[in-house]
Amino acid sequence: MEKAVKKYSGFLNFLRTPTPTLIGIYIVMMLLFSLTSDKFLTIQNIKGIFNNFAVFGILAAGVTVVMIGGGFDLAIGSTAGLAGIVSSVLLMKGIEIPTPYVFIIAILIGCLVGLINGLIITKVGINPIITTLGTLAIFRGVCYFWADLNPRVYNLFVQSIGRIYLGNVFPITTLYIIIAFVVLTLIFKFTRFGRDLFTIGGNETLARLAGIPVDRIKILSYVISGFFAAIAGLLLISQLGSGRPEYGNGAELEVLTIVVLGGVVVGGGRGNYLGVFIALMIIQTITNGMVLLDVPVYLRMVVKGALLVLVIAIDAIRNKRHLQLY
Amino acid sequence: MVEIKTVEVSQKKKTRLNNTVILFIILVVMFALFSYVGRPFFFSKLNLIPMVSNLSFVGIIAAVLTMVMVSGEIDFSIGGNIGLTACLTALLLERGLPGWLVVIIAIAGGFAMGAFNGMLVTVVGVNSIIATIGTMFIWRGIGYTLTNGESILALNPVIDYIGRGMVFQVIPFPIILLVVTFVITYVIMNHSKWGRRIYAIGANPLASFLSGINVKKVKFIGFLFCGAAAALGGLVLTSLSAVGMPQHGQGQELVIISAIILGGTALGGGRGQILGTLAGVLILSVLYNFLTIMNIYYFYIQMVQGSVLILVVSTYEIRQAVARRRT
Amino acid sequence: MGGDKVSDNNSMILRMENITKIFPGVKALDDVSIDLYKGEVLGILGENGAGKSTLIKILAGNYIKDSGDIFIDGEKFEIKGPAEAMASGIRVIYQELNTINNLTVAENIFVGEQIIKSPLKIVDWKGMTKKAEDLLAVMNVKLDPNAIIGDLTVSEKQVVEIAKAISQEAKILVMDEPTAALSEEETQSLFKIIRTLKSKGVAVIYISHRLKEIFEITDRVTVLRDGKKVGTLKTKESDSNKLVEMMVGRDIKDMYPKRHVPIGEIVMEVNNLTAAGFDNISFNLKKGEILGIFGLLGSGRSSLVNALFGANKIKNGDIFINGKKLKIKSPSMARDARIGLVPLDRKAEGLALMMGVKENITLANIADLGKSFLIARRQEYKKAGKWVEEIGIRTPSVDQEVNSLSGGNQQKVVLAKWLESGSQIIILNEPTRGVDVGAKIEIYKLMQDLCEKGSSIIMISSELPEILSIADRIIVMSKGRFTEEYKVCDASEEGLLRSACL
Repeated sequence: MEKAVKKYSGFLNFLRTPTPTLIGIYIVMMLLFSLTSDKFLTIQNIKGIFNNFAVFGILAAGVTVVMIGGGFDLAIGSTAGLAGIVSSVLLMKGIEIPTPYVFIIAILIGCLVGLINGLIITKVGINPIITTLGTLAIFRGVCYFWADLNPRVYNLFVQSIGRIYLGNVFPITTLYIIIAFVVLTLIFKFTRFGRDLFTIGGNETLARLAGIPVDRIKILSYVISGFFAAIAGLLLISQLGSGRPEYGNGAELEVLTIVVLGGVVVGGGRGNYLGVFIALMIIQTITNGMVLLDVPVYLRMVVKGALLVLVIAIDAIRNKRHLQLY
Repeated sequence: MVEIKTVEVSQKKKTRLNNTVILFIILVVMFALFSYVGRPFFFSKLNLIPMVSNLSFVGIIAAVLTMVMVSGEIDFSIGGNIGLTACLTALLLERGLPGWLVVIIAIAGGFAMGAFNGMLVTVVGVNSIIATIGTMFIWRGIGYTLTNGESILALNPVIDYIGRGMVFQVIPFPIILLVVTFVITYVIMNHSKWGRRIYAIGANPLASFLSGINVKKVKFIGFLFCGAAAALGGLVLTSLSAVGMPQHGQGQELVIISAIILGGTALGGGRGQILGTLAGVLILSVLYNFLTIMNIYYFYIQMVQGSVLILVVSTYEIRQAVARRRT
Repeated sequence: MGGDKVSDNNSMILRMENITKIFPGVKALDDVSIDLYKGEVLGILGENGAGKSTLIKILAGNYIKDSGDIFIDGEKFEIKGPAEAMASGIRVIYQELNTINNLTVAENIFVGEQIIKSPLKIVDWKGMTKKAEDLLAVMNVKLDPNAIIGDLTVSEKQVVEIAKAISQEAKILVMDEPTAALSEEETQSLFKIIRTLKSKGVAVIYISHRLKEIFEITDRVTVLRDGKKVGTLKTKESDSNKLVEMMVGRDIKDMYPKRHVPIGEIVMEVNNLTAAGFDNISFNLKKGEILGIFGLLGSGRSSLVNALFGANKIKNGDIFINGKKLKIKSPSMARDARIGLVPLDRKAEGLALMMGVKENITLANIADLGKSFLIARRQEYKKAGKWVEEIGIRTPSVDQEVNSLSGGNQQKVVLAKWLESGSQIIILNEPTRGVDVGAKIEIYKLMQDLCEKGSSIIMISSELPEILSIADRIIVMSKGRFTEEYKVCDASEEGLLRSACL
């Protein structure tokens, strides 16, 4: 070997991820928006941006875990809806189960949905997108069992978890997201589960050959996703003050866009939470920008679909899938 | 050893033949059962004609989507395509365009949507599941934007005939469309060179490419015609309901894909029969029609649809696993 | 030394007894028994398709045996999966590369068994990097443990594989052609490591078809042929003629039947061809000739033939077919220029396994199946039937799924596809991989039949006796470059290997 040893480090490897580019894009976007709209850089608006992305951010935390392992979870929206409506029913007058129990039940529901998804995907061997599309429909249907109750949330504690601003500016929900992302980053980096997850995403067959319990780890990743979906459900009823069966509808698209834009590779094995966080801010800024610019509601739907397509096209080009000959 | 194998092969052929036959037996039993439970309404002209017309629009799309799925790809955007086509049709009629021109524009729009999907998958190299989930939202979103979310009346002799016309006063016109689509796709898949290429690509895209087959072209054309078929389906649905609205076709992708897989098409491609798809479409359409006339809440029907999808794919995967264990 | 230990029953570490494994259409292993003692190196020798890989995949828990018993340290042991095999101290270096490209070198070495720091049970990156550095130093290679595997060369990846296998205390170390991508120097450092491990009591199973290596490193040799065990010898008491005879089961001349075919004018000329994987390659091919291409794993030989076939984008250089310059941009253009490719991995690249023999034979020429857009079934049966008969594809019928045919017959189906296509230049990439001896001889005969009929053949082979006996001329590649050209009469095993490491 005549050539000198190339030196690598964690930092250099990070520079080769899409995250630095994302940071650049975000800075440019901020500049553009603040130049074109004087409402953009107001505290009021920024508070809004941050508080609005709470639900998507929490959902993205879980979906990233699943996608790093090479999976997909489209059922998060209806899982959040289910956890939300059940919790709000349990909090209703006349039932009034103590709040800690409600939280535990909501989280158990989320984890159970994740477990079901994971079991079907690993043990039966169905494509994760098809599986979670199916469970998406099923659990959305379950939400409608309680549709007629129209439960409102009067519990002050529950109301506060999604609405408090620290120091009157910084939304507590953003703190949740930061905590979740940091904890998960540490789990990715420093636990066997985390490393094995990246290995599975990189090459599942080889991971199996290396004796890694692939099925168990994948199931756990879906349970984690369900867990975060349940928390997102609780935030939804907290912020909106009631439980409605349609809560979380369509969230999977937005979250998928965020996670893929954040540099999590479709098919797994690569991605980091810093990228996801910046993607979250980019997407929310765009959404917010459309509101400020009075873009019609329905057109926003088109923009969101187009963004998803654009983002996955970039993912395909970045990973050179467009060069595939067949 | 060789002789033993020949026996196995003939048995395999028999079971494969049986699959479609079993599906048709299930259909007959279901139909009889529903006619009894749902009497007298289920087995009446009042229910049967709309049901048949409805399943025609599902079937037209399913037949063409089967070709895409055998080639190893999938198209989820069909539901959004239906919605956009319905809106487009109604809006153009509102502008006073002649019916025949509207039909041509709508079908051309379908081709355009299919071409877009095809480009994304073959040129850009995006996974077709995610790509078409994305375009599903774009198509429907455009539908909402064009109509501002409202329903628009779509009345015109040509359009009326597509969904509600009666040939010789007895046969609903959509049935004719259905039969024609199935005959064409059957001949393509079972007897043509093109169909052979589709099966080969589904069985092994790399080997097909290395045998000189233009894999991307075959896949692209599949998406192209799937878009057109969805637009035709959208026209039928618009005609049946006499309105164009962006919600048209919502959730139909689940029904259609379930029907195709129920009919024996493999998700990864390479296997699938047009007649199997026909059986799948009939079974699911009859089932959902029954649930609807029994006044079951829409969201619960959606639940059933989701369960059916998972159940059908599970059965297929489990059968594959059992077959694999045997070898 | 190893010979002495055979008598010492106490140190027997592994015994595989009467192992049988059947795949659809072929008995891959038929009643094979081997035993292995502490601190010895057992060579397993056999031609392509003899069952070596199947045997070790069973040992590694990758395949489940159909019958037979496995004893480890004298106790019966059922290996149900890779995890159990690893837990009982079995480590395997596979022939195919098994590195995970998105992870770092250190992580690949410790994949599935990261070093854990108590009490928090967190992954000890520093410890892993340190230990990886030590392992790589032992291997005598300079590699940064933090490098991402995807950036490394094939031989560097191979080194990581070896480091991975020796990173944990192994009782039994299995190496399946570990030197396929290594230079002579790297091979010598590997042998040094094997000797060190040996002295520590590790038992090594060493699989190779390079006889030189077998003599250099093993204590005993077990020879397999056609899924059966032929015998076990002490290396010292054997010689290469004896081993070859055991491997081949017949006289070497019968194994590689070479006929004299008159060689004609140039049919293909390649000038300064450059594409991904290789640089500036020139050569020519003459009518009736078999041109061998030799190189180690990662030398760019497959990239080269893929480029000739339009499956690897050509960046620079020209290809002339029968004197006419041709830009080959896709396999369909190559097909139309009467070039055929029998690819390296026939299951992944050559066949539609779930389709029938006839569909596979006509795969490259669907357009010729009848005049209209419909397939003329009768014509297809006739065409397929003709080739089945002519080249002796053993199948119950042309409707049979190719999945259930043996490797040799599958390979003939791939070849028949290009014969049906009328190919004049046929490229074969390791044509006898995973093919039993009988079928191998048939394939060699077929290749020469084709040459007699005026076709030309390019054959990539890493099996030295094969390329030395069958080819007329051999070009050698190393690291994507052309290094040397040999007339077959001037070529030797040593010479080819030396040129392949230049």
